[in-house]
Amino acid sequence: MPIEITMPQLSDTMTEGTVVKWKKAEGQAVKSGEEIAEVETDKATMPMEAFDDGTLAAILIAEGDKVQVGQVLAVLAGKGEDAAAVKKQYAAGKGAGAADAEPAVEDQEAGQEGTTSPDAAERAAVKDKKQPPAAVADVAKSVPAGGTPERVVASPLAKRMAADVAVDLSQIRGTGPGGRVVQKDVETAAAAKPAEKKPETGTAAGLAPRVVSGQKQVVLMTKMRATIAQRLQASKQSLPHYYETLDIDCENVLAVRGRLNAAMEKEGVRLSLVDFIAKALAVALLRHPTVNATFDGHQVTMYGDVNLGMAVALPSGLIVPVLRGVNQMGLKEIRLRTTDLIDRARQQRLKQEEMTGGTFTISNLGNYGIREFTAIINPPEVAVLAIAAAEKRPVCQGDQVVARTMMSVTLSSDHRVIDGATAAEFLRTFKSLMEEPGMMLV
Amino acid sequence: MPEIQFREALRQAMVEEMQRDENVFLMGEEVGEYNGAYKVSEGMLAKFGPKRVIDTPISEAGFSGIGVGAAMCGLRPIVEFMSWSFTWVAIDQIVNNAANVRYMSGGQFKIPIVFRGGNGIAHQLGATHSHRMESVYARVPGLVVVAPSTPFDAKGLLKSSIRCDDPVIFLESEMMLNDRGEVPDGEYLVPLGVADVKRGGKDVTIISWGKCMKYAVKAAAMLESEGIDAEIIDLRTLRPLDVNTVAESVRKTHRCVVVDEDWPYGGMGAAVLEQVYKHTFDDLDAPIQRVCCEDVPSPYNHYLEIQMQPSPEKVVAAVKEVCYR
Amino acid sequence: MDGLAITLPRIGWEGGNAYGVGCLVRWSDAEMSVVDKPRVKRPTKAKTDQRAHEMLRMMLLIRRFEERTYQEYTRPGQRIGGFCHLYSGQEAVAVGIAAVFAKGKDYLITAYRDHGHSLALGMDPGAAMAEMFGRATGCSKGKGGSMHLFQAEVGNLGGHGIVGSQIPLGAGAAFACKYKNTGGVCFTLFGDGAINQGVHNETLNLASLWKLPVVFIVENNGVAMGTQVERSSAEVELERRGSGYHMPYQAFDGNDLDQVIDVVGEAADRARAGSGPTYLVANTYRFRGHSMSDAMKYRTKEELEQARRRDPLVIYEARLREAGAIGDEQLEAMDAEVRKQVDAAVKFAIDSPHPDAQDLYSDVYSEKYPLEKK
Repeated sequence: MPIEITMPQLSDTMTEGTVVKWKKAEGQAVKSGEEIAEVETDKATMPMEAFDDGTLAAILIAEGDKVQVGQVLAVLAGKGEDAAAVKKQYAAGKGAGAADAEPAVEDQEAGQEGTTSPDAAERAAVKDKKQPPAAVADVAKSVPAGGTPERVVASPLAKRMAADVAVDLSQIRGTGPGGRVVQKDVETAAAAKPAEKKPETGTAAGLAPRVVSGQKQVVLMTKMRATIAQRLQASKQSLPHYYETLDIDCENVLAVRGRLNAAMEKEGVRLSLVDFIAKALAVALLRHPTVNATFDGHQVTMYGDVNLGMAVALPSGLIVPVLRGVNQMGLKEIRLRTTDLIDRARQQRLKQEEMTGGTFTISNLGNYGIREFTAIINPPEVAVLAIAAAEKRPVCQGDQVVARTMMSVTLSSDHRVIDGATAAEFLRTFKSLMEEPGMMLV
Repeated sequence: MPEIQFREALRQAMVEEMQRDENVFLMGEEVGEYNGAYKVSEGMLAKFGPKRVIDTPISEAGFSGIGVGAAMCGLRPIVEFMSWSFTWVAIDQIVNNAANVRYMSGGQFKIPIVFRGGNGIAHQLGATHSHRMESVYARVPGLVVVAPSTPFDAKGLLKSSIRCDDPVIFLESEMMLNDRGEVPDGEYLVPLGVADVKRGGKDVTIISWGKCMKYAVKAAAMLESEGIDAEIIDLRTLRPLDVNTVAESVRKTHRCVVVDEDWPYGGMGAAVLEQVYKHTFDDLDAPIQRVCCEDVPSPYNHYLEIQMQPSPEKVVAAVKEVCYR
Repeated sequence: MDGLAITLPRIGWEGGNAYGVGCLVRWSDAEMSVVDKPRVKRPTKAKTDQRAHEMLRMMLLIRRFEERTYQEYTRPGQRIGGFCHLYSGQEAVAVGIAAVFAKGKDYLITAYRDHGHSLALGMDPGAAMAEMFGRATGCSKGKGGSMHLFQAEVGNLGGHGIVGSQIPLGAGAAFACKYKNTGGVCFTLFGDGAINQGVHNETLNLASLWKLPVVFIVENNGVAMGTQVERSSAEVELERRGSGYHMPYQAFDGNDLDQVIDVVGEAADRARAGSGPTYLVANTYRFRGHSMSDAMKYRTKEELEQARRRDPLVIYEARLREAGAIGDEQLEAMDAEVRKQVDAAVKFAIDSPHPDAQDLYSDVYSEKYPLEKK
């Protein structure tokens, strides 16, 4: 008779476990006491041992799948039993009585997964992403139907930390009682996030998810998305935005960049155009303090330093890391610090103080070839600069049409604080610094 | 530094303050001729005479009230209760008179009086003699409630209490009187309203006071061997509560266990816990756990009595729960 | 309110009773004779006519103050709240004690029927009325109310709301006098209801045991709230409730100011001499209900009739008239003056501000915490 290997209860609080890795493949011989898989419990990842000798006939649960304690994970063919026959038996869904008695939906799907088409596996994967952990789902069930957001059970600290590092709580598997997301879960998730998000190029898995034709998909707003929505709507609705666009000739600054990069090649530093923009802005903003300011509705605060917010797009939404004291930095430092900041922003590992305290923000869509766009002010700041692509354009020089590398920038200003002429003067300073970088030294 | 008993520390405090201020006097049952039911006031009658060390009949309400009246008229009484359990019959005097008179007279009177004695469960004294009275008095605005855990604190806090112009409820424990601890020679004070971090740690904050500090300290040692680093806060003053020290610790550790021997419902620990929640909610990684007595009257039987009370093991279990271990 | 109609005083001079309704239970024939056949030759305890006038005037002030308090309490849009207990009918006790009270060293403490004692010890009627109105200018800054009038600087240890609760406090004040050897005494007053509380026993024993300079005075107005003495005390001769403590006890006519001065004065002298406490029962009568909501259905018409003749003001006025120490003109002027004073007190209360919201938090503690006192 085939021997069923079930999810063990590895601690008194364990109710479910995940098969992290199978240590044996189908068809291999297994000895009692030998490790056949790694199982993750609510507390740790632990080896799972076989209790009997035999041949691993069928693996029913794929790596990464979570099942209830007691559920059948695999089947051993005992001495004298035909492993292939046993596999066939289980593949056809005719497990022993114990497996039949488990009516859970997950059970059925898990049962299918090992045996059915890749399509089904993909659907199961999609489902996994959308579904909170089982224990959380239990709580969610008590929420009345009708689109009410699911409540994620998390400790207050975990909630705060998740917001700080922009991790979506509903995506985290809670290991506390009742599936509560606790401090260490957020830490684990934050650390694991970049790896998880790494695009897998060249495989089907790397393709963008698609809403199945003929169906629709409803995605609830994550907390981060909801915050972004609320803040941007508030800004756009309550701040009287207006826009001024200017074209900048980038030939000179690109030439300087080329020379400097050649000089610093050994150091491995490569300046980008945006570093020059940051540097020029630092100089221009200190010359036009009204633009380097915050406004709380009653008073305008102007700053002696430039803390430059840089909008960074993440899959989960937009965040704005702040490069503090750009006015004190040279181009190299700007480059190094920007790289670090943006890297950590992508890994969602920014500290709270690295996302606050900005005095001016830039939004750069140059990489996307955007010719011109407007940005929404990030209150309490009073202006934001939208930077479009630097590209070769036909430009009139006198009566000649010549090809020059041009870049359009658009300043969005809060008219309560900055008048049109003030904004224009600021832009003109900025333009002059960009077009003659040497003027930054003056 | 000399090591002395808890009871000696209390006595030193009273003797020093009585020498310092002739308006300070001690009264209570058996404080004089008998030399103190628990020998706290041993030798004081001989030292100060019957005018200042006064034996009372068994009239807790009567002599409490006399103390309050005397305090209203410029004296600084120390009223000793053989047990705080006996103050159920004196509560009207302590609450309506000691605590309320200042407020309802619009601040015309100050009531500099110390009520002190053994509080809580001692050993097999049964339901009537094992009351934990801190929650009864710490609820009352106008009272100061103090519960030291070491001889050092006992002396310094009692001296501060005697100098305090407000009525002080000073909670000792029969189970602590033999405890020994270092107490420096010479004058020192421990301020009222300041909690003490008795042990620094990073993983969990254990809050306790008085006798239960023993459980907390033992539990912390047991936890250390399991790799959990517990911070222990001795509240020392239960009213006014030093919320800052507590909150600062919990913000650091994110986890909190309150250890006391009051009843679970409406007990002192519950009130402390509410304050911790109020100030640190967003910093908590787990619900605060409370280790306290079972919800029954104190039994006489030794084993049942042990079972009813907190213990280091119960504290360890609660700490593990909040640490998800 | 219909039930209260019977209790309305007859304010004015008609009907031969200037001060309102009064009556008395259980007066002895001798006591009744004070009214029925006043002893013309009996001197008042006042050394001078002026002193006598002052005492009569104080009794009258208390009476008018209480009648006005009743009006203000029952006025629609009530400005006096909570429980309010009037002293009308018992004035001679407070004024008699005040006559022997050594200001600066003596103390007085009483229960919640405390307006009379406070005025007798010199509280400004405005401060008392403002307290009842809950104003910041009240003697207790509006935090005490009718039951909790205090005046520390004259040794008025207050009115106390819990029946009997103040008895040990009074002994404590006496303890302080003895401890500091000031020669002061504490007049510790309570009603016939309080003698059934536990602390009454405890304190009497302690005070006598320690020979504290305290004068216990039971103001026996015959009714503990609504329960007559016969229904609340097994021993109806209340002075005997002071026996068993090894101290003198005595009942006297609390409506006769001269008797109050005599008896209480003697007890105070004993206390000052270090002979310990005395237990006195001042038999008197409460014209009003226990508190404002008391319809006094427990009283009969006959009882009230008798009490009217036993009004302490009537008794003292008669005595002064017979001694030729006062006349109609003086009495009328005195009454006009007192009414004016009460009017002014009410106006003061009305004009006074309520306490600031911030005052809610003051006077809870004397100290600031954390506290370290070098």
